[in-house]
Amino acid sequence: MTKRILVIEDHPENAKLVEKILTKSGYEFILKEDAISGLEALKIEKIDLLLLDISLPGMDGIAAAKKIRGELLLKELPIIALTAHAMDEDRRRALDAGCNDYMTKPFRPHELISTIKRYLDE
Amino acid sequence: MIFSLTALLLLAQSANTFVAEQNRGDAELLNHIANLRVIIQHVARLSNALIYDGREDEKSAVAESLKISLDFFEGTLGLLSERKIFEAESSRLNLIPFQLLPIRIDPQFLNRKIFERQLDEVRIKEGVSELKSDWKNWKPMFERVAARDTELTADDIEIAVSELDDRSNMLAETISSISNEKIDRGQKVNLVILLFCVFLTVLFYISIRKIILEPIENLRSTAEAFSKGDTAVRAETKLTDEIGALAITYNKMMETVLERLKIDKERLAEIAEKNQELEKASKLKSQFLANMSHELRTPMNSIIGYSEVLLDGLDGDLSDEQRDDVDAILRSAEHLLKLINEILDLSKIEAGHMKVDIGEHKLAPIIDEIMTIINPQIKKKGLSAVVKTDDALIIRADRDRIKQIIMNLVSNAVKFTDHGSVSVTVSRRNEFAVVEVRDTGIGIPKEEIEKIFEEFHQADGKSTRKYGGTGLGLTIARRFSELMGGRIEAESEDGKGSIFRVFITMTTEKKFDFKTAPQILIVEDDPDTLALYNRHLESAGINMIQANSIADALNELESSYRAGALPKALIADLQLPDGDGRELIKTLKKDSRFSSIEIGVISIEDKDIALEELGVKYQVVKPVNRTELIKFARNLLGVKKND
Repeated sequence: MTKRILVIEDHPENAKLVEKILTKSGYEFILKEDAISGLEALKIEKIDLLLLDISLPGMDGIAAAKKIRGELLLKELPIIALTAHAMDEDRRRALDAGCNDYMTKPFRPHELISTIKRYLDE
Repeated sequence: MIFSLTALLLLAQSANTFVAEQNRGDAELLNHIANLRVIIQHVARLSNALIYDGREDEKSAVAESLKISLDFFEGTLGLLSERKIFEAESSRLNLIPFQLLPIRIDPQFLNRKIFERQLDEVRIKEGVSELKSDWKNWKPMFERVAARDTELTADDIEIAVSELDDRSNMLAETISSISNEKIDRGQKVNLVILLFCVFLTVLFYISIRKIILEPIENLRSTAEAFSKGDTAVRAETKLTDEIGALAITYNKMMETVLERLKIDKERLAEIAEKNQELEKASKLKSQFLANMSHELRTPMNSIIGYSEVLLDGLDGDLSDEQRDDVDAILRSAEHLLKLINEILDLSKIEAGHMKVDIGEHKLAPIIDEIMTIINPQIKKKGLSAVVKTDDALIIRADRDRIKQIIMNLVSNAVKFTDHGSVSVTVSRRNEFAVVEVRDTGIGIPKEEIEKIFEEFHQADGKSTRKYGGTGLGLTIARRFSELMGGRIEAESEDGKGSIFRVFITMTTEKKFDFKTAPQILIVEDDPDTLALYNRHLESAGINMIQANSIADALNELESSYRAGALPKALIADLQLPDGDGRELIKTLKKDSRFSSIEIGVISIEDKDIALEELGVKYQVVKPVNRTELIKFARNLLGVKKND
């Protein structure tokens, strides 16, 4: 069965790139452009993994991750943070907020796929 | 006031002198009178001898003697009446001090009033003239005796002598009583002067108090109140003398001080406001930098990402020419990204926002990691590499930054060397660990050595084109090393290679605490994963140590073996910077010292039968969550959990 990956990313070019990488690698790509609609999608759809941009307009990725782990009770959902801040404190904040892993932009397509595979493939 | 006091004291002195002089004069008078009395007795004796019991043959000599005595008496009487004291001006009270007194008194009047001088003179003159007239009466009689006219009786002589003697005696008494009076009066005058002096002194004190002490006290209390913060207080300015002027000046000074204070306060407020603005600007600047970095990187993500999509063939195969073109795009994009990262680093250092995470780290594994990454390039260029590290050396620094610095120096060395070797040597110098990176490359002209640490400066303008690079690497390396209390120095000769030395603060004593034996050694190269594992295991009360490469793990085990605190278990990743985790496991299994250690593997690879054959009981595929990790660790340690 095709794994469904939700991508919360506000930057359309990046979203398109991620879509290309994911669909070419055989994943289903669902895009939400902000955290609120992303959280809504998580409530109603079956999602296997979340790619979460940290710098989002309105609610940022850190707050979204905390909500997912807390209010939505999705404790087992793998979350990979996408961050353009190559700063230690951002990585740590992402992990502390409940993300399983993070990728620093710009990332290589094969890096993204191998990281996703770690969490999805048996 | 002082003049008056001085005048009075001089007057007292002058009165004393006057009295003493008078006394001397009186004593002289008394002396003359005593002489007269002696002469009279002599005259009486000589007269009696002539009239009665003298021998006839001697009488002419006695008569001669009597005549001489009579002359002598008259001479002495003359001296008495010619005495200078009768000349009024000869011995006056010295009245010059009176000129100094503010009061005007006729000095003559004072002289008379105080000493009744004239009256005394009159009394003495009268006495003397009485004596003179008595002498006139009796002188002819004694002359007849001396001329041996013997009609006179002894009684006549007796009467004359006693009358003259009495008169002399009376005169002497008059003089001595006058003299005593004068002493009394002198004393009285002195007493009056003394009292007057005391009075003046008291007056003096009172006026000094009034005109000096009280205004000064007023000034002092004003100053005290002012210094305690009472800004409304002012000194009294009623007086018009120097102290009054001082008080006015003092008040002026207070006004000036208050004005200055007001200005200073305003300035301080201004400065505080400016500071706030600057702080705000600085915050805005760092926020701007963070945003810029994000904004610049986001499109970079697309450029690099799409280039890689093309290169990876996700959109179908590329022709060789197309591949070269996309390669060029990717290389430029990566160069630009590096530039953005370095400019961000440099701006953060310059704004003072760069934080270094100082900790204690072994230096050797850091160098091993760098060499693992750089070795392919060295091989590709056909260079030889020499690495000499010191396993026991522990540095106090930010591990990532030190790695960045050494990496920069080593990759520069490789970049600028076409033939020969690149060597990395570790040594100790005082409190520093020194990493020396030496190459046999193109070198740097002597005059350029310091400039290469400046921003965007490469030794040769052309080298940027030939060798690439951002021109910021060395600047950042030097700034980072300084941030961590060290430094970088360079030594080179054009065409003969370069030597760069990084000085890193070193821990002098080995401070590892083995009191509580670590239970698990985790071998994993990703610091965040390590931090996560550490947190999870700590929460379950499991004590762990960590290593980030095969070499580091072996070092760690060696030293804990020596310390007698070998961990019970080891969890290894299979993909390590210096090789495959299987190599580590094989090495450990061969070494009998480490046979007691249970080995587990957490990796992204699927379960490996070959590892089970090596004796690895437990294997888990990444990622592991907290529960899985703790279960895994407990299995390895042989602990059964009861809940």
